[in-house]
Amino acid sequence: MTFPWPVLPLLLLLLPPLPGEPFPLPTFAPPNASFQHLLVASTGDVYVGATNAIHRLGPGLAPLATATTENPPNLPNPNRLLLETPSGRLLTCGQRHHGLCQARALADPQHVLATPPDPGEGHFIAAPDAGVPTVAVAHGTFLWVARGSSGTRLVPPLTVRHLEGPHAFSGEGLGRLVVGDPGDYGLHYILAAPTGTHAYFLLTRRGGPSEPEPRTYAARACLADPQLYSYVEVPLDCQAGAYPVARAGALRSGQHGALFVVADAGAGLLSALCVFPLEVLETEAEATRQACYSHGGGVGIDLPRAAIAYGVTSHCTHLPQESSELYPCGDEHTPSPIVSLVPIQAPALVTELPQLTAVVATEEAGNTIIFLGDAFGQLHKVFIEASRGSVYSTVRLSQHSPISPDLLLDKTGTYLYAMTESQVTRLPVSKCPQFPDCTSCLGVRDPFCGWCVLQGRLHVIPI
Amino acid sequence: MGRLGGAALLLLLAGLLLAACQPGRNNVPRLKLSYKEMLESNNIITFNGLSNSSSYHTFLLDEERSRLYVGAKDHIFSFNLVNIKEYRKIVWPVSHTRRDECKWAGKDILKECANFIKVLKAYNHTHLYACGTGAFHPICTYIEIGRHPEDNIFKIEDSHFENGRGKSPYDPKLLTASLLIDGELYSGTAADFMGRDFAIFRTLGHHHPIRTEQHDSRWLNDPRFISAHLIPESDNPEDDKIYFFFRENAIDGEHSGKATHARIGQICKNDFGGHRSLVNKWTTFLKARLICSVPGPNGIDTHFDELQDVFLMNSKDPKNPIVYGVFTTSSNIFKGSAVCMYSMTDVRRVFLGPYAHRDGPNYQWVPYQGRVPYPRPGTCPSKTFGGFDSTKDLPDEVITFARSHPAMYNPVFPINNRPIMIKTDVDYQFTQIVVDRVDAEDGQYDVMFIGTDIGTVLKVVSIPKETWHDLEEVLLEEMAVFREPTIISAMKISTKQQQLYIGSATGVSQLPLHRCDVYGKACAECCLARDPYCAWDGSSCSRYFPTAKRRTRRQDIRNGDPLTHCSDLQHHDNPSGQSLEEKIIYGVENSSTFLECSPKSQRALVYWQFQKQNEDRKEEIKVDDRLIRTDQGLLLRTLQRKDSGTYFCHAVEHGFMQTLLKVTLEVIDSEHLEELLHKEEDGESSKVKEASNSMTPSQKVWYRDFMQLINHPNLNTMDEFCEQVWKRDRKQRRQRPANAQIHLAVWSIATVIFFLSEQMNCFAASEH
Repeated sequence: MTFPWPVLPLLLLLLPPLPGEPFPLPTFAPPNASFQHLLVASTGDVYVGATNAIHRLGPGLAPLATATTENPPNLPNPNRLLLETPSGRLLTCGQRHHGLCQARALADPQHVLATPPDPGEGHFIAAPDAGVPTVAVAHGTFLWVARGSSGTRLVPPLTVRHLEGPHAFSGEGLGRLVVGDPGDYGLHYILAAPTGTHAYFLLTRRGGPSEPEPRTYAARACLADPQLYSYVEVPLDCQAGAYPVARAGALRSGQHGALFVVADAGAGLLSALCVFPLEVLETEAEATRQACYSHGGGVGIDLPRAAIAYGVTSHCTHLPQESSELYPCGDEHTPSPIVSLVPIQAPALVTELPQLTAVVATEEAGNTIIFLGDAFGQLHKVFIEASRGSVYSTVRLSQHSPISPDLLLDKTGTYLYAMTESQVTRLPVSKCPQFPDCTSCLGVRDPFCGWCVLQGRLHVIPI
Repeated sequence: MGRLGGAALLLLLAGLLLAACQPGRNNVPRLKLSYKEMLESNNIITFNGLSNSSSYHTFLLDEERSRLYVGAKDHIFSFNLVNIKEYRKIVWPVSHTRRDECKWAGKDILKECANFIKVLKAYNHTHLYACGTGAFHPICTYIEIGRHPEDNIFKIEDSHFENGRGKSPYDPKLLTASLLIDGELYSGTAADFMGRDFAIFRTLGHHHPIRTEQHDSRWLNDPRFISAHLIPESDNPEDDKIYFFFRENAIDGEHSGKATHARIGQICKNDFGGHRSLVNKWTTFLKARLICSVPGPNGIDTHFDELQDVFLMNSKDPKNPIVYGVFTTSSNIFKGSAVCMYSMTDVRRVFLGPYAHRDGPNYQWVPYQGRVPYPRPGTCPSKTFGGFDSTKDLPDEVITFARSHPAMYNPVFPINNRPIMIKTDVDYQFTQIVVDRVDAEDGQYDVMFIGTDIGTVLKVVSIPKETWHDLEEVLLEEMAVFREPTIISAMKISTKQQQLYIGSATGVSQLPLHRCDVYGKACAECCLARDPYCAWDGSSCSRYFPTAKRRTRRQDIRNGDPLTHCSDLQHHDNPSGQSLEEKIIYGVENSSTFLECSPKSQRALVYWQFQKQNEDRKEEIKVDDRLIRTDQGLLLRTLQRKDSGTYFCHAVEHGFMQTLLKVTLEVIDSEHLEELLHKEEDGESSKVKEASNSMTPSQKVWYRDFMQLINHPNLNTMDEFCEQVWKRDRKQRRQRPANAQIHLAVWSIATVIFFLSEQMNCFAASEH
């Protein structure tokens, strides 16, 4: 066994091998740390948003730099949003100052490149509340950012912000999701992720004041539409509505793209995994748009198919048939926000796991492999075959802390980064040590070795 | 009939007089003039629009240049105030591309995809600022008008177009209330295509645009803006406020169901928004409800909440104009309109009163009882009230409070707590108002010109009965100002020209504020009119000028009492005055006849008397199956010999009686008629050769025989009468043979009967 790093930094700890785990995994676990967000940048570096600090780590979790975000001193400032902008900056937003953000240098997070010079409420971005996640997609010079109901009416739940220029961080002249009374909807955002053309959001909300039960929706807006004219929501039914409340999600774009949703019944212990193919989401969103643009919300004699959401005073209308094609991202004259009245159905692929908190998916030799994190610090590996998921193995990363929803793969899909409250761990996606064959590999009961089977050959990954 | 006779009659009519004085009758316009009548009396000039334009809704009056600028569909007009038939125009359409885009957005190519001018304001000494909907893509530009009236310049600055968002609405159906002062445009409008983002903006000028908080229904809840005005608060211009009048949905929880409230909103002219909070948003915006209601019989007030128009009547004190508001009801079933008057003192008192606050277990609106931060939200930063140089320096707690408390708890009640005018019994509603302050012999009166949704203008004067708290509205005239019924959407008054300008979808009309001669030549008629613009000058009813004192001048606006003011002139008026018509008509036994008599004044009551042949005594006509009274006159059915005699038609108004008609009816018995008809048959052969326009001896012989037949006493009169009928008949045939039929069709059946019986008497005569 060889160490990949020439110098082992002080903070890098090697976990004692777990039962059945012959190799120590690289981790990052500074003392007294409290982590909130994890980011794998385009450079391959890993960033950790923590209380009072932003850490830059190498791909192997070697600490490279740390910026302090404690301001004013002695008041904890947890990180509420951490992402890389298209122009290669690190956007960080803390709990303090109503969720104000800074743009920092990726190489040196301590170096603040931009911050609102005279911050006002127009610059508030992240929800300060610990239980209210803020999710965002950066594209071009804009940021699509969503945050759940957090007591203040000052910041709408979904806004588009400038990332550059004189109005940086503000939503001046840009779109926002107008919600009649946010308290009526109990909005909770779980995920924001881009496809090539759209920003997707996974959220849970109530239907309105008269529908107190929350359910899950996928929302979509064109990345070419900073005015949010193109906003469409589609309800997602996991196992015919048996698991209405999504807890975590992951979006894999590309040809076999899909939205992976971990959901539960609301208060139940058992979670489910449902997979919604991106193609179906796209088709449904388009049909919804078409119904609302040109058919007054209904198609033919069928039941109404689309409506205006959030009590906004607008109506589905009767624009020319071609409208949804002519205006793929909507326009100022197209109705919005639109919600589909027909949910997309997906069967639950995994149902036996309790309290899942994180999900990420990858593809190995044409097969979908899913990693699921749970509230007990465990990571489950699931192999999907014939519309059925089998839990292949489970690894415990922490004794107490849940796995953060920021469960991320590196660019090549070789490694998986998992985070708990105070520790980041890098795991190989498929790690086949140097065993001559699968039998000997499986013989040592190395859970990671199991992946070799899928490939039908041994696969050596240096660790 | 002499003066004594008239006085005696008055006593007899005591009962009728009481009826005439009932206030309900005042709600009826004294004069009701059709568009045709207006045209015929040369009292109206109408520009009937261009075929490729419409919507003449946006008016700007320029007294100095004597022009009325009108923004319409794809055009801006400059009318000569003296005669609007003389005008210049600018064509300002949208590009084909823009129109196609609008069409693709599902809008109507004719009604929506054009440039409807919504903002037309004086920008400086040489330019106007104009904004249009630009086919759902608002656009603005400058219009050059030259420095002096004689420059005669009226052209568009083709090279300079600006984005009109936040200035003009996208949708031509929506209204914009705007005000341009010191190069800054204040506008209440919708700033998005869908008509959801309503706000009060300040644009143009050097400062960053400012607006009301977005998407906060506590600030504005689907408002419709009516007008904007600058009203100084003190002698210090720093305290100047801009007031917006609008109507909006009542805030949830305030009322169950959907309700509308009329509002007055205020902002400070020197508001530049907050520093950290309410950045580029008004920090001094406050609004209060305007109440215009009448108590109902069951204790529930009838509210007029749909504010339609506002007119500010300026007084000597620029801080305290009188606010006139025109309101309609929200109900679809109960149609009503009202005019309410408000004082700025009351408005300011409400803005200094408690803020509306939402609190408590029921989430009710309550007056805010807590500590109000200093400086009090809504106060303009100034030296007058101390402390702050700019709204950007306002403490955070002031801004926070202002954001969550934009509405006042107390409403503004109208002066005297009730409308000065209500109209509920008609099939139209008020839409516009302008008011003129007129000096009369017995004081100053505000004359209201009220536009309606059926293309009429009501001229109303509000007259104090006992005190100023007890006003009586007198509806002087109801005038149709457009050929077809149409909604009046704009009105401007030129005090310099003494003219009124009226806009609608179809055109622009102009009419004088006063047309004293229409009331009649007599003193009593002039006096009864109660038009503060008019006085009897000794020979006719003419324009009253307070400066020129004349002894012969008679006017009584407050009471409109001709008995006091014209009694010494009775002999001029009545009964031998110009207004008395005397005639003789003939009727055949068992047939019907009609005695036409309709007073000019709608408010006059008609009273009929009958005097039997060879008798002095006159008696009141009792209506029965045979005698039917109509608005046009008296219909006598199944004539009997005893109906022969003299009929008097008297008009009674405001205690003053006037005889309008004296008609003598001769009833021919049916036996004599038989003979008459035989005679007609005999003469058939000679008809062709003898028929001519001049009377032949044989003709005269024939009807003289006929006269003898019925033993008529005054043949000379008959001669004259028939001569007149013939003459009229010829004239009508010559001039408009086609029209005669149409007129017949629209005449009431009673009139036709009358016409036929009158004709018949002379027809037979002329054909022989």
